[in-house]
Amino acid sequence: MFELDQAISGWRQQMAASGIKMLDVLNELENHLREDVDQQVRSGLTQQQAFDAAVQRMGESKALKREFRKVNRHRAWGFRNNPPALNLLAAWLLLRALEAWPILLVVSSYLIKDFELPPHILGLWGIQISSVIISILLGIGLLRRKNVFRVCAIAWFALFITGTLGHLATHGLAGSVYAHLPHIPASATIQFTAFGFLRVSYPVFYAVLLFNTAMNFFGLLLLARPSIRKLFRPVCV
Amino acid sequence: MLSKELVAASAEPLILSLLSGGESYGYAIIQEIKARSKDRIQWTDGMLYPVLHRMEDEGWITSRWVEAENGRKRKYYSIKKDGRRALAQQREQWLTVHSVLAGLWKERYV
Repeated sequence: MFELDQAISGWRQQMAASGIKMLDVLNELENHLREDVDQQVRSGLTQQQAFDAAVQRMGESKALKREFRKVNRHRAWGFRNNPPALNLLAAWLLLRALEAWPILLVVSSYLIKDFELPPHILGLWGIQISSVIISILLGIGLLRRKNVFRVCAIAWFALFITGTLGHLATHGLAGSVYAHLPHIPASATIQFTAFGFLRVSYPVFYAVLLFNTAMNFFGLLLLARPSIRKLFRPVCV
Repeated sequence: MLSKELVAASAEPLILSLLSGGESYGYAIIQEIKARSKDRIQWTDGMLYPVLHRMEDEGWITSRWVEAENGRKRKYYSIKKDGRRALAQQREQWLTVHSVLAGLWKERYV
C-alpha cells in the first residue's frame, strides 16, 4: 500500500542527501510536490502515479542542488552594487555589532571591579572567552569576503590585537580585560577618569556605558532585519 | 516548445510580470505560465525555486508563508518596487528585440 507521507519523507531525505538541506527550501519544495500530487489525483491518477510524476517533474536532485548552490554562492560571495556610502554605513554598523561583545565584557569587568565581585560569579571568563571566539569567527567570516568589509575586518583585527597587547603591557592581565576593543575600552577608561575627576556619580557613568552597549545591540538588531540584511547581504549570509 | 536557453532567459520577466498582477506561490506560478503559453513553456518545476530565491536576494520580490484553507502552508511571493523597476527595464529590452525581429520578418516574408 502506497503511503504518501512516507514517500514524501523519503524524497526529502534524498534531497537532503544530495545537498539541499535548508529547511525552508525543503518545505517549499515539499509543498509544491503535495500540490502537484493533489491536482493529479483529482484528475484521476492514483496517489503513487501522481507522486512519481510529480517527483519527475520536480527535476533531478543534483541539478536542483547545482542551481541552489549558484544562489547560495551568490549569497556568500555576491557583492551588491551598493553605493560606496552605503557600504561604509554597512561597515560602520558591522563594527558596532562587533563591538557589542567586548562592551559587554567591559561593563561586567567594571561591575566586578567596583562591587568587588569575584569574577567567576559573573561568569566573566565565560563571557570573555565566548566574546573573543564569536568576534574572531565573525572576523574570519568577513575576511573571506572580497570587498570593503574585508578591509574593515582587517582594521578591526589590527585594533583588537594592538589594543590588547598594549593593555597587557601597561596594565597586566587584569587591565587587559578592559582592552578587548581597544578604542572603546580606552575611551571608557578616559570617561572613567574624567568622570572621577569631575566627580560625576557612578550611575551616570554606567548610564553612558549602557547607552553605548544599547547602541551596539541596536546595530546588531538593524543587521538582523531582513530589509537591512538585504542591503548588507555580503556580511549577512 | 521553447528552447532551454530561451526558457531560462525569459523566466525572470515572466515571473515579474505575473507577480505584478498580484502575489502568488510556486506551484500556481508554474501552472499559470503553462496555461498561458498553452504548454509551450515548460519549466522543470524545481528549477523555478532557485530563480525565485535569487530574485528575492536581488530585492525584486519578497515572500511570506501563508496558511491555506486546507491547513497547508504556502510561500507567497509578491513584487517589490525594485522588481517593478527591473520589469520595466526587461520589458523595454524584450520589446526592442521583438520590434526588430518583427520589422525584419515583415520585410522578408510579407
